[in-house]
Amino acid sequence: MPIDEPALDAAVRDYLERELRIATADVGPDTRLVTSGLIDSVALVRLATILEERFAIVVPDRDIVVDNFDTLRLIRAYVARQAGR
Amino acid sequence: MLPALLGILVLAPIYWTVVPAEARRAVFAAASLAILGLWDMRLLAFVLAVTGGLWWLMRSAAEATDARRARVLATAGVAGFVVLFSWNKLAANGSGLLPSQGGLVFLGVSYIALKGIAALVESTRETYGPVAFADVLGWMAFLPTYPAGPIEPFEHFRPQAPTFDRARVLGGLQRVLFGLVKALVVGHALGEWSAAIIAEPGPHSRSVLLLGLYANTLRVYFDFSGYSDIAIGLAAVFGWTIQENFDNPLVQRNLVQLWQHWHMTLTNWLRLYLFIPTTRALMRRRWGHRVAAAGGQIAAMTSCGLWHGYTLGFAFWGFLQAIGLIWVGVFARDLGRRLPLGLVQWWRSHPVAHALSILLTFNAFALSLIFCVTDIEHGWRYLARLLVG
Repeated sequence: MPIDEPALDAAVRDYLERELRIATADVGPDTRLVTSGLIDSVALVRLATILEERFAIVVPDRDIVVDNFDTLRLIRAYVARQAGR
Repeated sequence: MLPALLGILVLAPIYWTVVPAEARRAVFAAASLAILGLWDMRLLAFVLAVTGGLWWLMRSAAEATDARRARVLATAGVAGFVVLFSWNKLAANGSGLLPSQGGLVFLGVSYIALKGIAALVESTRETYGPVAFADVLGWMAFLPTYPAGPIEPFEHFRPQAPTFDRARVLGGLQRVLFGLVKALVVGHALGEWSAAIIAEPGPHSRSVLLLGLYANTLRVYFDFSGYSDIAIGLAAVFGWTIQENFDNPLVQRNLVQLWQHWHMTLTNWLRLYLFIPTTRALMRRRWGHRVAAAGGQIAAMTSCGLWHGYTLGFAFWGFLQAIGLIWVGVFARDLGRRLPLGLVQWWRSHPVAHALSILLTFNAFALSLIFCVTDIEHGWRYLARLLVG
């Protein structure tokens, strides 16, 4: 199932700006979010829950890792994979 | 330790020139087991028994036709490792239980338990596919990480095939030497100096008491990261790449970042197998995400304290880490949402704020470490004398 990428980007940016107070003007598709320290474990768990609620996907505990959430591009790919299941 | 290390390093030229590439994994595993057997035959039997049980459970859990059976098998294995770990810790506390157990300190049962638990959980998640006994044995018996980690994940270790790379071997030797100096020279000297101050704070001024805590913190860092350097370097000499464990942890600007750079393989383990599952389980039970995250941090970091030592002091130290992490990840974030954005961005980007954050983080961590080296009552007395005179 294709995902609405602009809506996904907007949801992630909204979370970064509103809850983490991160200015997203400089956040591009390949900006490191986790490995750069912008997002920590607490924020990552919260982001996973937001994505589950907004995009009707399931994010298993084992998937909450850098490989799936470090950049907007990785998040898009991950959400698309989960939406296709 | 030094003669054993030199003896192992002397074997490296033989390993690279005589052993065929396809046999190096097996030969390294056999050599690791032989060294264990030379140390104490009971350790060899112990590792073979634990690995055999772990491999059987991993295979059975992965092949189980229903998820419930896989979970039951993995849970039984995890419980077994917790019992094994507790037995070892109680003996280490000098409880008189099994005084002949000293060799297990060399083996690093705490690390074996964490590796085993991770392997069992991942088996239920179908991370590995079919596993060969030889691979599990080579991983569990991997000599460089015996005494002090790092906690090398099975999925990182398994695909490696040692090949000769001159730069890596020389870099490994350099790393071993660097680690020896850090642990045995710098760490030892700082430990000698700080231990005397912490044991008898009475005659010392407040500034000396503070320096004693700083020296103790640096001692823990140099000692622990030095042993990690030795392990990583020794592995590199024999063609293996194992995960990094420390990355300038004492110059980080908050406790979350400090823990992301301190004993990283342990932090990663705690995040994957305690913090995330606990937090999400609490969230599924309709706890708010803040309370759930706090619960996850307390579960993970108190366990972290107990993993370092079965004493109230270590448990309290772990609890203090959790409180610090909850402050950074929950309360400071809530506070940040109420402050003007410009102020938040200034705090994140200004060099003065950066330096102040590092100083505060280092001091908070240094003060908390007192509870790892003395009992809670003495620790409070020390801090009271330091802070209020």
